[in-house]
Amino acid sequence: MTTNSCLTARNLSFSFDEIPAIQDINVEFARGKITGIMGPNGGGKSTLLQCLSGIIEPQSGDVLAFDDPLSEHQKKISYIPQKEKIDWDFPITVQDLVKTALYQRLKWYECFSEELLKLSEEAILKMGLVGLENKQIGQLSGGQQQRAFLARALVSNAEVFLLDEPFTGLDVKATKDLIGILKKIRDEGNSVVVVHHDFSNAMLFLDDVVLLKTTLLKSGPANTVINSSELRLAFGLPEQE
Amino acid sequence: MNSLTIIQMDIFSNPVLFNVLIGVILISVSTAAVGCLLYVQKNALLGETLAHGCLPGIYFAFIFSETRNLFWLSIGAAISGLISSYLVDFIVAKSRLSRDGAMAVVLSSMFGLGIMLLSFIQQNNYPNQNGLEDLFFGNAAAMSGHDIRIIGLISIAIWFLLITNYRKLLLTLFDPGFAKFQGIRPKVYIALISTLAATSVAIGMQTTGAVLIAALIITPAASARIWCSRLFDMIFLAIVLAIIGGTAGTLCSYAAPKMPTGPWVVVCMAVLFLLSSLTKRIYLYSTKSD
Repeated sequence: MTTNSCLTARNLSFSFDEIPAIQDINVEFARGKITGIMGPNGGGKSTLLQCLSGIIEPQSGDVLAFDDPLSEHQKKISYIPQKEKIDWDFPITVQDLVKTALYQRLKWYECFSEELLKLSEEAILKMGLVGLENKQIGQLSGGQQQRAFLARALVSNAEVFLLDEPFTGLDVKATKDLIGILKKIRDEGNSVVVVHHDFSNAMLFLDDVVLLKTTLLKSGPANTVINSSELRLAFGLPEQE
Repeated sequence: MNSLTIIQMDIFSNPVLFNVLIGVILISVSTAAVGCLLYVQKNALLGETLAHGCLPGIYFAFIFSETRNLFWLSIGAAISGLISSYLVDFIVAKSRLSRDGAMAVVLSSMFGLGIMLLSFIQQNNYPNQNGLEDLFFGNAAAMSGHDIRIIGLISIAIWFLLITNYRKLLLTLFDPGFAKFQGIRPKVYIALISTLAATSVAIGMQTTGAVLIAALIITPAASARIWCSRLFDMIFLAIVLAIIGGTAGTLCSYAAPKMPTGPWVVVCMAVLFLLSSLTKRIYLYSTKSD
């Protein structure tokens, strides 16, 4: 039986030094939607995202992509790590960053064909990075840096975009721009999963929310989860009168 | 005739100078390229650890082969260097020691073991042992034509591996998570970088010795990084600077024959680093004021 999910976590658990980060998570991420993974600090949001991406192997349970084992669709999944996990001083330009998604299509002795160059130019254009192609990535603003990584994901033909706290350090305009881009990616039929903890703008772009505090507290449409008592409990907020 | 013309003539007529120059250039080019990978990996101190870690391997290789053949000594050095690199990883993984702390422990321990083995060789009157102590500070003038051929062959192997794996190395260094998505096994390429670094250090020991070889690895990379926004450009510029520094150091030591080549090469590369930093500052200042 096929479901309408792009990713499915089944009994997923992962611990760091025997301290559980996530425990027995069962949740489905819908296709063609933007889903937010939310919860308090240390609640296992990034760990869940990394397990979904395949970067870390869960200690128990498994992940399905499009109802198949994750490994069969690994190339359809793109993961953009937290800002502080990226070496922004690395000598790589925007253009070269985008081109890294095309490396697997080339033998070591082959140069980029016109067709492949066009692909990377289109992604750069789509992400509004024209004129910044030869800038070293550390010289970009926070919003431009996120867009550069999204351009790479577009070139790699990803269908599922996993972003770990993409709004960290962005100003109001850059946040608004990035929300627009994520919606555009969703409207083209792709799925987006975002680790996010700002409730003030969550309703603006999240279709679904997965609420996590080591275990799964609640999942469902954004307005249902954000207004739920489970969320207030997770963050230690007083009950609404 | 001025001194420059004499040196120009001597490069081709004096086989010792010619050998030293070719050897230094070959070594500098390989160490500069591998040094760029270590630099962007933020693992610059690994060069120092490998250099000191190579010593026990060299002396073990001498004890077993009883010859100063550079090929066998290089194999011993590379194996010993790799063991040092893995020891650092092992200590970091299994203890609470930081990476630089682990490097300091391995570096000093391997250096101590190297000195012990050298004393053992000297006390037991092994044949052909003259010159083994040169490996601390290097003695480029002792390079023979046979040594140059071995350095050349090993350099070709290093370059072959670098060129054929360049894209995978870049991806592994920059974004190991994405590299994994692309079917690349980051651990394999991290191990390749350590192997290339250990091999480059091994062939460079004769020139600058264990104490100074780290400068050959990191100084051209640091000088080039100041100017370059792309890894490819950085490697290219580092090689150019290494050739200039290597050639200038060799010719300086030839003009002042009582001084060894290795330290001259290192000093020339340090001068290039200073010039690179200074000109970049001037460039930034002038573009700002425009």
